[in-house]
Amino acid sequence: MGVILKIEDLYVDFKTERGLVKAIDGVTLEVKEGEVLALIGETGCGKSTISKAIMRLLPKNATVRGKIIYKGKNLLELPESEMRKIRGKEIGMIFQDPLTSLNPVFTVSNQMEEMFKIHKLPTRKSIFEEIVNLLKIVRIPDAESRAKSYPFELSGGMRQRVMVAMMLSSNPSLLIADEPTTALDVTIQAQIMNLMLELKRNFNTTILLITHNPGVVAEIADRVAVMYAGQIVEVAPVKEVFDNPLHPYTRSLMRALPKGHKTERELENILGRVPNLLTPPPGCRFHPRCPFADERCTGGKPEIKEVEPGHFVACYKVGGTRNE
Amino acid sequence: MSSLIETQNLKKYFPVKSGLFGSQNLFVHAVDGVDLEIKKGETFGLAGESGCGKSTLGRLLLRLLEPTQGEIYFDGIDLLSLDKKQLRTLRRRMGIVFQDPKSSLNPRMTIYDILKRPLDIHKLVKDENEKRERIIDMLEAVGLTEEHLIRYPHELSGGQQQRVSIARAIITHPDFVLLDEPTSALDISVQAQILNLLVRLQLELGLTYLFISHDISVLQYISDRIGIMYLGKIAEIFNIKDFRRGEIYHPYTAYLLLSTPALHPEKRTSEQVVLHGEVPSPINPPSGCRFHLRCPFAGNECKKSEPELVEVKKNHYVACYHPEQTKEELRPLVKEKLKMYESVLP
Amino acid sequence: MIGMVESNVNMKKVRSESTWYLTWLRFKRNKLALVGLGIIIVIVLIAIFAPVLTPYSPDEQHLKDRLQPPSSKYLFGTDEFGRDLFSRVLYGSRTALLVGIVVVAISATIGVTLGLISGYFGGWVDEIIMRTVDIVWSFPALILALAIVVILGPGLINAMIAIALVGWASYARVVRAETLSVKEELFVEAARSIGESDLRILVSYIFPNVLSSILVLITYNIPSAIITASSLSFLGLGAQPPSPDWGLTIATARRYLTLAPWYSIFPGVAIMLTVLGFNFVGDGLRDAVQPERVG
Repeated sequence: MGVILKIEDLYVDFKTERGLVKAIDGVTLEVKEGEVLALIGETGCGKSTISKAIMRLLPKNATVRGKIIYKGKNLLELPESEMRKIRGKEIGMIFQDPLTSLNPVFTVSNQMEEMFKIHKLPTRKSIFEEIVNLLKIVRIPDAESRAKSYPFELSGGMRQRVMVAMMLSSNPSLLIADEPTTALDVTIQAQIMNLMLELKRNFNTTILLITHNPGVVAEIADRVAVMYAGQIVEVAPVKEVFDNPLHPYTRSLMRALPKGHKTERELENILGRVPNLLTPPPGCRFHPRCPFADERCTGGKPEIKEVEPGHFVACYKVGGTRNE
Repeated sequence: MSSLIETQNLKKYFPVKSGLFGSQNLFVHAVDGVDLEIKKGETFGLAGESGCGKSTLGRLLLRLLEPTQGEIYFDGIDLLSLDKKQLRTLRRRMGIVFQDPKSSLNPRMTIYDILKRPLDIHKLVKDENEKRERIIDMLEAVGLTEEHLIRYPHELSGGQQQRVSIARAIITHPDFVLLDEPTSALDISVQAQILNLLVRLQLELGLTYLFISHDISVLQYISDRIGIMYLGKIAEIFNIKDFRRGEIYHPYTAYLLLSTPALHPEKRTSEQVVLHGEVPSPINPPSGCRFHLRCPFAGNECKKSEPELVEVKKNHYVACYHPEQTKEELRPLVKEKLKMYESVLP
Repeated sequence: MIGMVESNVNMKKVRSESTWYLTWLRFKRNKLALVGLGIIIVIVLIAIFAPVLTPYSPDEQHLKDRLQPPSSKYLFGTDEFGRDLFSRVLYGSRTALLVGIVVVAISATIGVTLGLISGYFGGWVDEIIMRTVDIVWSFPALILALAIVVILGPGLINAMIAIALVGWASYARVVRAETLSVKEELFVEAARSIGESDLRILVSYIFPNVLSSILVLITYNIPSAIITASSLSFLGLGAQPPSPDWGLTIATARRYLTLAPWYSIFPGVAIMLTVLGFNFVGDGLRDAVQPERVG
């Protein structure tokens, strides 16, 4: 499998009046063609910042260093006019709340027509038929009349389907899905996750899934990258992450899942809280909360290394943590 | 065990105006005839998708909303017979924790003032120093420190805000705490901390919980009994042991579990068990069994009349015409899915 | 009470940041708002120290020096009675601020109370209050104030009452809308769940959270009250001679516009600066109270 997107040594800082927030601290990550890579992390770990950096949609107070190479081109160096062609056409994006990403005063078909016009997409039939067809692909019942609805007339699950259909119209190679099912009920969430898996299967779409929910990761990811406080601490195939997590943070996270019953076990308590990125701890950013940390961890940032085939970890103590 | 809360045929309809000049009066049937019993000292989990009426039901139990019809008993007291003043006094014995920690705390009050109000209202402690001590004890019990006393809510993280909410709910030593999705807005690691805290506090203070959540995984961890709601009605009530054994009699319960994101990649939701369609509008709920439009087992009787909630085996209640068929046919899938709750790392 | 809490922990050097403090941080960033605040402070100081700052009493007549242009003796020139305009304009700030404060105090008290009640309780109380607001708003403010003054009789106090009776409606409407949204916040429900009374919920939970909007409204309301009062004075229905009121001064100056243009310019500039100062602060405050967090 080829690499479709490569992030190299990415740093993102935000200038705020309280100082510089070092949101992304040297992230390197490869997304392979046709895979579902989940980027998992807790609130404020920088996972959404990465997605915005890829799309070059960061606010003005952000400074970005490093490379984001998409199909051989460094996106960070492209002129804005080139970038506009990539957004939506090459790289599609769906968000947590589809209501805010749809224009409330246009009907579904109006908005989808825009996509066709902006990116000058080829159509075999009339644009409307093309749109109805897309809505059928994402399993929207009664597609003809739904195409004429306004966003507020649709349920959350429907709106997310419309977003997926819009994205499908340009058939992007890469889909960035930022918490796509967080606002939805589980039965609807399962439907949307199925839809994403169909995309991958039928159109060979590569998916970068950004989420805080290990359940969603377990459902559809092939590989997982775990983020903590702006750094990637572990990258591994999904089964490895759940069965054989090597980084102490990933291990704690897996043990914090509500498995078992309160009468049988206590859930893992990770002590302390996520650090303030205005003054991040030196070295490994997890060390203040890590039960295995020693002087080395406070000194320099651990490099991310391949410790087992396809399993990368950024921790000085790996090997040590596995056997405790 | 004796019951702490009991309801009979509890209903709450919200009017919605529609038509030109609000001429048509329609009603959202948020809670539509619920009989529920919560026993002293237990954690009763209430699950269901958004709009099923679970939060409304919770608020009715505390009479934060006035029911349209029905009866509520709190420790034998007829809640609806109380006047405003009596009800305010009784509020010492009940607490509530909401989903959104930020919105639950008054942004203009310090943590100290927030926790002091319940003590003042119910005149529990007279001496100011004693009050302060009690507040600090409470803060420490929920894992915060004296240092947080003078903080404002926005200076705390979501998890810490939720701890303050919990402290406010239990500082009066209530009997009952309503937990309305208390961990849904939190990250996994914080959720784990809060769940541990809630379990510990329950043991120490002998609390009774109604834990409302859309997340079956959380409920199966913390609950002793679970009730499943669909469109304003209770579909099934069971204890955690039956659940563990895969003894599920209502198809909706089974599908809710089967659609829950797996906690392990080998227990992925299979595409065959994805429930199709969406929850119908509670303004005009379907006739017969409210689930029949999405139910694979639905027959003619399900379309015609509504099944009653009946005891299908000891302490297991279900409102379905095909409980045995559901249990037999879905049990293999259910048991397979339930394994995702077993594989805990050493 | 809070002071006691602080004294016990100040050794740890914690600094608690109330939302008001954050509002101030954001406000401080706005240069124009700081300029406005500076103007207001200067005007307030002038009003307080007018006797010290002025070379003459505002009513002192120098009949020999009538309608003199600005000079080192009379900085802003003199009027038709030879009164020093510099002194009169400085003293005029007292009337202006008095009008602003009194009008706002009356209209805000009425409007905020009715707005809170209307928004919190709803129902027929809400209907009555809001329809009254509609009636008040269906007339242009100045015309309505004019009508009320005509009924009450001319004079500064009556003018202030008239303006306040027109002005409360905007407070009622804004506070009602804010109350409706704050009422939906979970902390209000939480307050009910711990047994707080309605009155206490209104006073301790809702009012502090609508206060920032009220403050914004007040800063906009003060200058408009000053302008309306000046207009009434200009029309002869507000402040009466020999008051050094700015509006009244301009009204008199109109007769000498070609002969002594400075006569009307200085009080006009004074009104303009005052209004501008309050409006700058109002804009800054409005922007500063919007978001809940900094950065």
